[in-house]
Amino acid sequence: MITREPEFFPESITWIGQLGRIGVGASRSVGRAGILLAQTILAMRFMFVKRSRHAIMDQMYVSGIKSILVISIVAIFTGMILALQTGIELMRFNQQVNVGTAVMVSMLREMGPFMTGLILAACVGSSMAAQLGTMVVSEEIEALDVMEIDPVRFLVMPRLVAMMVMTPLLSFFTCMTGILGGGIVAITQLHVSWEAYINNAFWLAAEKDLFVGLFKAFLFGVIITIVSCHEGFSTTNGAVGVGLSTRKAVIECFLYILIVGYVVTRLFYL
Amino acid sequence: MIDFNNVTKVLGNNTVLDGMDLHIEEGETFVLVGPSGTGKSVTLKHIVSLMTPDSGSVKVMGEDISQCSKKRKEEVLSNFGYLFQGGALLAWMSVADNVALPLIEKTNMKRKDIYEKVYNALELVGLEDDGDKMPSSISGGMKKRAGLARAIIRDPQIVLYDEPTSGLDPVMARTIDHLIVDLNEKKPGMTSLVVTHDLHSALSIADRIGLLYLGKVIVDLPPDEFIKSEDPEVVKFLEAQYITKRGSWEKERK
Repeated sequence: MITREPEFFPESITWIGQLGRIGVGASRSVGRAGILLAQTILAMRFMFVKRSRHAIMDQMYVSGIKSILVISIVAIFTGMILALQTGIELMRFNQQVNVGTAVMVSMLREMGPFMTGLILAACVGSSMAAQLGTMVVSEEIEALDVMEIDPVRFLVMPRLVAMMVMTPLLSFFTCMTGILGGGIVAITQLHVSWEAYINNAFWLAAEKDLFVGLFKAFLFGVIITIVSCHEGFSTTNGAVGVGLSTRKAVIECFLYILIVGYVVTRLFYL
Repeated sequence: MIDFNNVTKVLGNNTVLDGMDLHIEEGETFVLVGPSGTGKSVTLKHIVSLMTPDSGSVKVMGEDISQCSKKRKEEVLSNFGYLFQGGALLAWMSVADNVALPLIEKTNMKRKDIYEKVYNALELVGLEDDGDKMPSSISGGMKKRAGLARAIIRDPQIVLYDEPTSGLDPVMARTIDHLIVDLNEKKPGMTSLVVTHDLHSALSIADRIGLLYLGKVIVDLPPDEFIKSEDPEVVKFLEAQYITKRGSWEKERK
């Protein structure tokens, strides 16, 4: 059962006590999120069941297709800014033709997965936390537990599978759109031809950059789903609680995306 | 069928259940009444293992529900129907899909048979024309009736009703009372536990009424005796609902 009994802690008046409570609360939260991840991975054995397939497709549409517009806008401007900033510096050495390489490497290694992760955390993660939080306060999760329908299999597993698939795909899409945005700036502002820009961009692009970026995006998809669902399930105190859970989910997702992004870069590039 | 033995439950600084004893027989309709915040819903949650007692035991069909294995707990829970206060319908599914959900998830019935059964249940609660509607577009009373249809769709042996008539107009409240009585008459072995503070409803449908006060069931009597009780809490509760016609309450059940 995912439903938890309400928890009560006595008020602590000393700062050490309050610090200790924050530490215990954070450890417990991480532990529970870890258990939720393990339960969801176990529930993946049901992912090919017909009704699970429908739920996964629905979630792919919600998390993937519905995010494409905002991702496109952010990606194209990210590419344009990258091209402009690096291009201005490169122009000082008359090397603006290399702007394609700078944009390609930045997008594949960092900006593609990072921007995708942040956008999905804000759009999809907040929506997951709010939806599950609302289900908790309106007793829908308890109803599932009483009907012996496992909320992890029914609600979390389809979201996790959808995000595991869609985040890397969207990250790739972000990279390509960003490169396109960079190309627009290269042609119109830096006076580099499209052929030169593209040739330069793909000349130094390594498969490793692509795959490490996609791996990062995959991890970001897992983080967004588990953190958001965990915060949603932990909701208490009605509508106010739903707002707090949503806020916590987005902030935690941003933090974990930054930390995990750094750790993966450190592991693969140093 | 359901046994609470000396159950204590503390939430924060509040002792909600304080050595509570309760015994409900198979086929009986037991109504638990009491003021708000006395632990009526907490009592229901102990029965379906959404909460565990701090001390004492809750036995359902002979099993200590908080101690038994996960598999056995699932077997026991498969005999339950639970009507939540707000209906607890899943917002993204139509009324019919909500009612069908336990059958889709927990049985191997064909889709056609499932929806035939679903529309029979919806007809029973007067919602046969509302199956395609979404929960957001129906009233609170209709949500409760849809929740009731979902609670009984698997022909449970035990049905728990959490405030089935609260927030409803008097006509709809009596309709729900009729439904509860009809269900029990159609299925004689069915055990019902109704939690409410609507004494009109309690006196109409109950075989026995228990008054929960300060964490204990302080009165446990048939309706005819309950209404005559001189216990000050019962008297206060009856008078607060303008029930003064002692001893001649007309029951739903003839």
